[in-house]
Amino acid sequence: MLCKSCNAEIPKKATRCPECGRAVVKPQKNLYPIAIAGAVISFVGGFFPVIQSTDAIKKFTPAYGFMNYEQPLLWYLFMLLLVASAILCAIKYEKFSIITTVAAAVIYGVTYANIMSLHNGPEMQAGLATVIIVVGTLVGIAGCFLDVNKNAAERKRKNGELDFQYTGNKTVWQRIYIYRGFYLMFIPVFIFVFIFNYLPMAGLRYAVTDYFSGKQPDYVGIKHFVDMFGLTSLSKLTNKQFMAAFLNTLRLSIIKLFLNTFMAVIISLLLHEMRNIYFKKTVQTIIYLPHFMSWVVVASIFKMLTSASDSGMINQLLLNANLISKPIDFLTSPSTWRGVYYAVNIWKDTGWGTILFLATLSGISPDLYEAAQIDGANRMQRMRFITLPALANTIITVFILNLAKVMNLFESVFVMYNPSVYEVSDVLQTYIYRQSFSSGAANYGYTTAVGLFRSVVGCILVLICNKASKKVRGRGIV
Amino acid sequence: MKNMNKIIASLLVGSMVFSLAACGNDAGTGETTPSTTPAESGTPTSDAAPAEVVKPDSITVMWDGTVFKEGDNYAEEFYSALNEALGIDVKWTRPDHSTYGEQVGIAFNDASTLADVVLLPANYYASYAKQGNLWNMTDAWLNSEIANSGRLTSVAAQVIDGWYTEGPDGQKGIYAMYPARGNGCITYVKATWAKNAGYDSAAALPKNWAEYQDFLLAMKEKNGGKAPVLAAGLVNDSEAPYTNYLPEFYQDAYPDIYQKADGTWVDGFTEPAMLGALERLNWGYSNGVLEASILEKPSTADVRNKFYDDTTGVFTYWAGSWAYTIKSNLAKNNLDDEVWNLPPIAELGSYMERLSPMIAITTSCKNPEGVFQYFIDPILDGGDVQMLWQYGVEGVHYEWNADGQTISGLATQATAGTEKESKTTKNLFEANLKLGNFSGVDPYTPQDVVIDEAFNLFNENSSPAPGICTSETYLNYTASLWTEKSRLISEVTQGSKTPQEAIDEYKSLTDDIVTQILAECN
Amino acid sequence: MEDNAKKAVYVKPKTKIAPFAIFNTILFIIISIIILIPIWKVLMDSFDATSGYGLKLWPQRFTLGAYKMVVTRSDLYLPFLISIVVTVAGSFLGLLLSTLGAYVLIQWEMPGRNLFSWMLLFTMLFSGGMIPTYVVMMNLHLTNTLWSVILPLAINVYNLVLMRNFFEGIPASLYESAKLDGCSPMGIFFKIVLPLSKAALAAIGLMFAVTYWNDYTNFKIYITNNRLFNFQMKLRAMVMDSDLPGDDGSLSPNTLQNAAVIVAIIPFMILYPFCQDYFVQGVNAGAVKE
Repeated sequence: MLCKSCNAEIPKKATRCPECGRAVVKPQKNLYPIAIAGAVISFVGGFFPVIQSTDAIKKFTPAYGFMNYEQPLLWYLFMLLLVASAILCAIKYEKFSIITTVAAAVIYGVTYANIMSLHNGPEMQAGLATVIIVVGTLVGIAGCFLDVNKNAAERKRKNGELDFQYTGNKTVWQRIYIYRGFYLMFIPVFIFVFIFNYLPMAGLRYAVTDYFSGKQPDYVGIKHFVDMFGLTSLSKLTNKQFMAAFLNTLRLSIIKLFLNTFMAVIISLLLHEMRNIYFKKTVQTIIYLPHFMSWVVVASIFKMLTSASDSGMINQLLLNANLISKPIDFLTSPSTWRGVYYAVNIWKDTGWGTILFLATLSGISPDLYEAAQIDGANRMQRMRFITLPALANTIITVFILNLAKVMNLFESVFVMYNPSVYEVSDVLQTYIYRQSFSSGAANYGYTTAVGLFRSVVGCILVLICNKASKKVRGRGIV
Repeated sequence: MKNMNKIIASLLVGSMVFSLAACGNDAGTGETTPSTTPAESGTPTSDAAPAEVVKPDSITVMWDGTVFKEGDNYAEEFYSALNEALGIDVKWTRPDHSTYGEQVGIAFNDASTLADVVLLPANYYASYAKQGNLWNMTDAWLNSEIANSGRLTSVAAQVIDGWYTEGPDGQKGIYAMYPARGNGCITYVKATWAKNAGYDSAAALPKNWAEYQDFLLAMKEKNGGKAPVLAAGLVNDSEAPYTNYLPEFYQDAYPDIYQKADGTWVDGFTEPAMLGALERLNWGYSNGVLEASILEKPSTADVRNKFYDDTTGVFTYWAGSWAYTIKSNLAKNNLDDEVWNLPPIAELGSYMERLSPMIAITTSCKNPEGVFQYFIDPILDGGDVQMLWQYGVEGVHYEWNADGQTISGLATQATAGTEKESKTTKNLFEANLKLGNFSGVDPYTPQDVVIDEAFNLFNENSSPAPGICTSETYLNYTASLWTEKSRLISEVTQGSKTPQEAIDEYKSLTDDIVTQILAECN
Repeated sequence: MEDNAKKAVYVKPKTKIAPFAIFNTILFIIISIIILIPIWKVLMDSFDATSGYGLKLWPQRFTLGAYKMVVTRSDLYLPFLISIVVTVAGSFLGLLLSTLGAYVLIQWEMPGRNLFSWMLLFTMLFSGGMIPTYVVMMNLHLTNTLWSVILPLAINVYNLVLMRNFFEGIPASLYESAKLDGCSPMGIFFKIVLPLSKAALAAIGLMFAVTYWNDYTNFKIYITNNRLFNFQMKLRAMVMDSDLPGDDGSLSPNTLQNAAVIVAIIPFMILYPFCQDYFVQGVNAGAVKE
């Protein structure tokens, strides 16, 4: 177990970190009645109309809620997910309830916005669903604060000792008052995160709409997902381009990750053997250098170097050396583009990637090497039995950290690809960009759906990596 | 992780965000509705009472690089002179020229910041009109000063017919105009290169494809093995007419949905003519007569530079004043500036006149009648404003000659270093292409005979480019279709697929889509 | 006796290393050259008025014309100024948000801290994606203003967490004594936390600066007005589209393109060797603790 503030190892029975003195937060009890109540209230809200007519004589019809659609698929999902959340909370699988709850929230947002935009009018009024679901949310918020307090008090009772180092044994309200300044300080961060991270998540509702530039989104259900996965004959082309982009994303970023990590490890090992400290420092400075260049700069440089016309230095050198008889179209031929892409990535980022490995290597005690030398171990043996095991953990860490980012691939491809190599180079983000911004009649609904798919796959990858990271090094990456 | 707070936090954050966002959306919907309403109701008022048209104080305009470039071409002087002449404050947005099409697409997303007047690439015009993004200027045009002035040129009626396109209501109307013909490209051949290759005069230039092949091979062989031909990509998928930079290779093939002479719509990519075009492209590339960088889809500026610095010897580009620009740039680089115009080879028949870009008033414009009457109509006023649009600003871009009847161009920063007397001056459109004549004397002085030679060759050997399909399915899939077509053309050119394989692959992917598009068109 | 034997065994391999050390040195010289060749070529071409294409050690016809052009022409130096403005403003804002957020996140006993923490961490897990973000920016009327390229990058949860890790390294006893002296939370922040975190501020500030200076994606998506382009956008247009300002014929387009590349990298090439340790520190801190 690790201390949350100073990361020191804490003995099992300690209640306080021996290094920094922070109280150890023990895993808490797992029954969360207030949170579950919030989910249940929201669940109930799902039955009621989001908006309804003001006409009392006609018993407030027409009304629009989750169930008004021809295929109330979203309604089923929303309800199922809320139930799942409550159950998962109750049976201590609370980790998974994060997924279900957020999914339910997404569905609610989508439906609400959609109903409002489709059916709102002067003779309509807010329906019960909104009120109830807002109440459910508030209960959830209350549950959050109250449970913190309750669990803290419980811990105090158990440990027979003060938990709150600075604030003493105060109630939650007193503590909120004490920390009032901090809430104020958090406001700017909150606003930024809300606007630039959470508002766009709400925009994921376009994934179930047809949304053309300058028009209002129009609810179409899962049409775009049908298109993406090629379930109708009309969507063969879309499916092909989408799948190519998806597979390219995986292939390019994973191979790149393998190559870069491999090269970085080799270079770190060799650099670590370097005894002359000035030479080592100079080499480090040089190999870190390309990392600071933007992708635009790197692509510009390599475009000039690899061009197949007279201006390309590499082709000129190869031609002059009679190694080739005809210039190679490095960046425009599907057979060579990937190779160039990997090479450029290695050129740009290998040096930077060595930082972590070098830090680990310098942490290995020289005594170990000395002892091994005395035992007659040669260079290879020392590398195999001392260096590599010490490095293994870092390699896995780097791997996991980067694996979580594979779906983010964009700029490096965007600045290096061209129409001749779309088939081997197009990745999800560039596909989204082109479909959205490079044609006169872009359907943002479709590109949002592709983006949603990307986000979901990315999220799953991060969670897997997080899990792996916990297994390997005892702490997650998020 | 086994911590209550985290779950609660995500639940809380999630639901908070989505409820707030949902409310926010509600407000947004309410906001945007009124802004579109006046625009839609604009049409009736225009023919009801043209007298009530209010002169706008300021207009926002989005334009590409086709009026004077900012910085080196004294665009600011043009802007202020235009403001003065019109009595309107015109605010210009000039996105990057090479990605202008993308920028237009992006600009139309946001109705509230969209410019009042936008110069649309030709292939956007039909789809934007159909989607209801453009103001219907049919009545305004029919009542306009220029349309009733009798100054329209002889070809104008035919060009104006081409402006009619289907609106959101399904009726044909004029949604944008352009003060000039579209112009087109002809093929320029460097005389030195041709002479080296054994073609002694312009008359000896090839007349058909077989001769053209021999010609290109000889050009390559006798000029240091340099590939003679370069174009801005194998196919220009961003602007119709897609094939105009490589006409000899495409000949009668047209790789988009188009209407045949008999009135039926077909997909040009699956027409038999396309097979031949793909074979020719492959021949050109594998024999090294197409410059290798053509696959990188170089920009037109790139292609021009390569022609100017003698990397290439054959260049298909716009007729008219470009002939002179090419000549003077060659001279600047100390090369022989003699350039021959290649008449269309027999298989090609005629060069293609492109659909011009279109000047449209968007539905975001608050006072479209005013903008039309006080900004668009005067472009061809036959007087001071037309002088500005056609030639630029007196004393900055041109000056009157002693005879008082003609003008000569002045050097701008961009053209500095060349002789003043030989300067050409042209702002938005060329004298040869204008649709409206001047009321008095047209002060146009051809700076060089090559301009008229090139233009006349084009004029005698051109046919209009096919119109663009407006079917909804086409609009939805045109980007995806072009991705495939560009890829297949590139693959065939490089030899990794045979033409037949490429077309079969295209058919297998797009059969259903194309069938639906054609069903909607026919 | 045994000591002597030990020494003998210990010394011997050291002399054996020699061939390997030579090999290693040569290898790293080669690697360094591979890294430097492209940069060197670009640098030399930018001084060379001839449009020579091969690799050369020195310019054949030396000229400063291209750089003169970058400095004197408004369509070239304006993008450069915009890059500077965005980088300075953005780095400052980014540092402000990171320090504020990080400081709140180390208040372990503050009610709702975990909520805030998860609110931030969740954004690393899931995102709305390019188009919804674009629509938000559009609805806020931020597109085509410099705000659209400054604001979204200013909140960087990764950097914020990094900052928090640095802050956590400050001994708790310091807070406590400050508290006993009657320092307010803000007082502690300014008098203790910030002065003790200069290295962290430098490291994270530099990370922000690099991100802003090299930003291309946000400009590409949100900015369509060419008067608001930063230098990366301008460079891209110059190299990929040969969108070059008209010249007086004394320069080849190649020279100008190369000079633009150099101008785009020069600020950090100059700055970086002095700040190398801060960057390295930042990377190590980021991976050890997250």
